[in-house]
Amino acid sequence: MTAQALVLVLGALLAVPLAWALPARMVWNGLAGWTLLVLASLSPASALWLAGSSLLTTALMAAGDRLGQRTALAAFGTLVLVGALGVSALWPGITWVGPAYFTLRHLHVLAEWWMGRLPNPGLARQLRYQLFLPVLMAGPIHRLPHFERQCARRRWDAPDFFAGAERALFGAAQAVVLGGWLMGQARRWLAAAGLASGFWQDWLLSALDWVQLYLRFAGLSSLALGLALMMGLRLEENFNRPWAARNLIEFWQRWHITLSSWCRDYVFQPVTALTRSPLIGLVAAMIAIGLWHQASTYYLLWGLWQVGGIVATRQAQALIRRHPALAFWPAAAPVAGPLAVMAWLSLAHPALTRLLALAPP
Amino acid sequence: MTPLARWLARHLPPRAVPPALVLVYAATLLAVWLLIGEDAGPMPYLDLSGGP
Repeated sequence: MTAQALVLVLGALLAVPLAWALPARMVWNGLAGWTLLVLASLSPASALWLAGSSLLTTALMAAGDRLGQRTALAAFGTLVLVGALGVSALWPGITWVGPAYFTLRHLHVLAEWWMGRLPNPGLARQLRYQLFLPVLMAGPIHRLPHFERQCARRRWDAPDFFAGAERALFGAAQAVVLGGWLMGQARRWLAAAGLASGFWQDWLLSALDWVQLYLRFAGLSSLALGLALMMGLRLEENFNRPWAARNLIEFWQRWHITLSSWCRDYVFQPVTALTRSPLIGLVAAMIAIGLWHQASTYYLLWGLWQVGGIVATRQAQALIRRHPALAFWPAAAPVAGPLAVMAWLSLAHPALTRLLALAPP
Repeated sequence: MTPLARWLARHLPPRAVPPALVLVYAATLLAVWLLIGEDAGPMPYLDLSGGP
């Protein structure tokens, strides 16, 4: 774990006593102030960006309400926010903290306002929502209405507090001990065994990457959700046993749930409604998920790879519905399904890197 | 009762639950403390560098 990550985790740990010690009317402003202080000490540029983008979205929503130009201003805000995220990745020498997550939170607020489901929350509410330390560096991408409901309903509950502490501790252990040390040992063991470079070896290593990704990312999510629970807030879950998914559609409902539900609500549904084509909606949503990881040709193809898997799953399901005899061994599905999902996901890296190597420079 | 305490209570006599709980917490904390510097490569979803 990097030093910056450690500072953020320690800062979030210190926020827990602060959340219970501050007077009720000051608590969320106090926590937002504490988050801004920790963020500014690590990355002043990120603190400025987060505060500036909150100010921008709030001003755009206020102007949109006043001028009746919601669509144009929401589109402009989206372009600026996404553009800033794209430009930040090209900026050398600056450590950014959390822009991939807080940009999606801004877009969520902007989209809900544009659709008329949420009034302009104003700058103070935006900042209280955005500046919540446990979720700053690795999500989940929580939503404003749910967050505010949780803040309003917050009561001291000792069992919840200790359950949160336990979850945070085990989440940290999952990310550090299993995802860091144990997976490092596995890689060293594979290197010592003289694993030569080749297609099958790359496939195996890619599968190992997915296991490590799960251990680390789900561990960090548990850490964040545990710390939030210690403060009295039950935020949205990010993982629901993705390793048990029997097909790729189910996998994307269980893996990084707050990102996939964000893309469902703000990419898939609008694009499908606009084009009347769920396939185009799916392509747009999976490309958005891919490009959110990194704006590159590889991740563009990675998104299309996921579309291929989902379409193939739908076709197979339709075929089995028409010819039930094809589901010849249903008892094997709990094992064969997850193995097929893992094989497809981990095949993406060796297949796409080889495909890209064939392309002319 | 935490999820671990509930699980231990199902498998251990009641008097053994608190020490077992303390032992598991202490061992986990120690393991995290000792291995926190161990890094097996990049952590893609930890957004500390401009991209996730």
